Amino acid sequence: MEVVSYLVYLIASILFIFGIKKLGSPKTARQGNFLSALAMFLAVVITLFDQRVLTFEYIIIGIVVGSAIGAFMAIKVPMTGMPQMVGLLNGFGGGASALVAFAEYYHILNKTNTLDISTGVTIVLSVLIGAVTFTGSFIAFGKLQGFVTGKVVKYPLQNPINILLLLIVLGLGYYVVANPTSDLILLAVVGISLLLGVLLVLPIGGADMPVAVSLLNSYSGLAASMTGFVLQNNMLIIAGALVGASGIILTLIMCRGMNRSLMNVVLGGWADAGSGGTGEGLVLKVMPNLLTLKN
Amino acid sequence: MILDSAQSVVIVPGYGMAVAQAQHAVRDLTNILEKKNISVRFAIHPVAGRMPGHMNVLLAEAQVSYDKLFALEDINDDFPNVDVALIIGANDVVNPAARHDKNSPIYGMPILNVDYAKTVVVNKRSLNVGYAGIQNELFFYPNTLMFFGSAKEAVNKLVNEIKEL
Amino acid sequence: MEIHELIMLIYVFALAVFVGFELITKVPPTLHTPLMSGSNAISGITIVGALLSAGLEEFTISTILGLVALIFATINVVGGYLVTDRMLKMFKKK
Repeated sequence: MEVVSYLVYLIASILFIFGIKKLGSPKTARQGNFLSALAMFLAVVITLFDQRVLTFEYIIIGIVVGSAIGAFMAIKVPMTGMPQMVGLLNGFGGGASALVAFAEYYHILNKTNTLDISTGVTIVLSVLIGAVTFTGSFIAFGKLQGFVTGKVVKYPLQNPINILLLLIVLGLGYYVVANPTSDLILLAVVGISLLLGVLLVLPIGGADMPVAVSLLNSYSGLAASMTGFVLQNNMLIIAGALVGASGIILTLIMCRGMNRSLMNVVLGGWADAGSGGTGEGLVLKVMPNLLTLKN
Repeated sequence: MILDSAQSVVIVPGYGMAVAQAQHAVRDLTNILEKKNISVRFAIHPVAGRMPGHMNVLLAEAQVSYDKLFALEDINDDFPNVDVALIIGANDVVNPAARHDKNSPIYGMPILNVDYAKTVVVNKRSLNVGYAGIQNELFFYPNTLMFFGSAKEAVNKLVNEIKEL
Repeated sequence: MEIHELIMLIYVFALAVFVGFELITKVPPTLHTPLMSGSNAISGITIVGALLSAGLEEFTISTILGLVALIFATINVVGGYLVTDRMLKMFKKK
């Protein structure tokens, strides 16, 4: 059975790659999306046969609830709201990865009462990236939807605080790897990562959200990849890496479109750049109505 | 009439078009111009809209054929051959200052070279500055005509005027 | 996990990133939004991990975490694929 599941995971990985390849042309894009969905379906079905999966009531609840919410969102969202939708979905994906890593942490600990270094490191990274993606995406959603100010938010010591928080997270992560049973410390990693997600996206201006959403898209892929490291599952690593690459490319395209560096966007640089010329003294030809468009 | 006597029209949609929900009106305009054998293309800046490719999706929803949608690098060299560039709710991405004004905050940003078109018609709600916070010198160019008003009403008006001809 | 096992996983990761770069630079700007929502749905692959935790024999804290993860991942997967299809249906050539 194990061999069969490895093969199915391999087929799914190949289908994901083909799916993205076919997304490269409007003619084949729908087919590509379908191939990718088929890969996901195969991956889910074969996982249900995994020897670890023995009870199904929670699985049924989870899939029914998640499908209902996902389908509702997908059908209802207007096309103008697509950035918000993708923002939210990024957040759910990242959140799921962090939760899976945390669940796996407890599972391994319950079974063996210890955690080897490689697994520990990947769990911490998975939790960190997943949690940052989760809250960061919800702030991005809020900014696009107008719940959170679309303005560039600046506060004193913005960068030192973020760097300090990141160092604290990494320090705590190191502690967890060295002392695997300290689950409260891992919880602190989650908490600070969630805060970090908020602080990283809050300064970014509303019109720079294309960059933020693309970057978070990349993070959600990285988070999935990290979960693949935790589970030692190549399919997750491949699928996550494809998404990570996609998000990074789109992020760079957006930055290039504005001739700005990623740092400039992420640190909320542009919007207070000054007022430039006012155009005073120049002649503006205004059309009071379109009939005057006639020559 | 400027649009009527044009042979080649390029529409530059910006986020203002999406805010005003003017996509369908723009589609109507496209159809009516094409009926008069005027070629209509769309020039889409990479950061038009709120996510990569957002403007393309909005136009696709309004049933604009995707082969009429052109990316910046695919249409920019062609603006000197364009009779009318119609800018709907875009601002910073068509500001020529990005090409020559070293003091401008947007200097160096790739822009759509609409000012090279024979006539530029700009629809905006007001002269308010765009996201970069600067005034747009394009609006004061001799070949530019400003038309103020909400994108939806403005474009619908334009469609009706062409119909009445 | 032994260190050589980790290295093998990093190999796979590095190669997949490379494949991703090669494929995605070829996607035209017109399709960037569906590409993003579609790849977003793929990142819901973490659903596999959620299933493993939510389906554990004994009910533990892992089950609860797994259940919440499963709901999140399923929203990501189902929402992502459906909305991508909804968009791609609109891309027509006349």
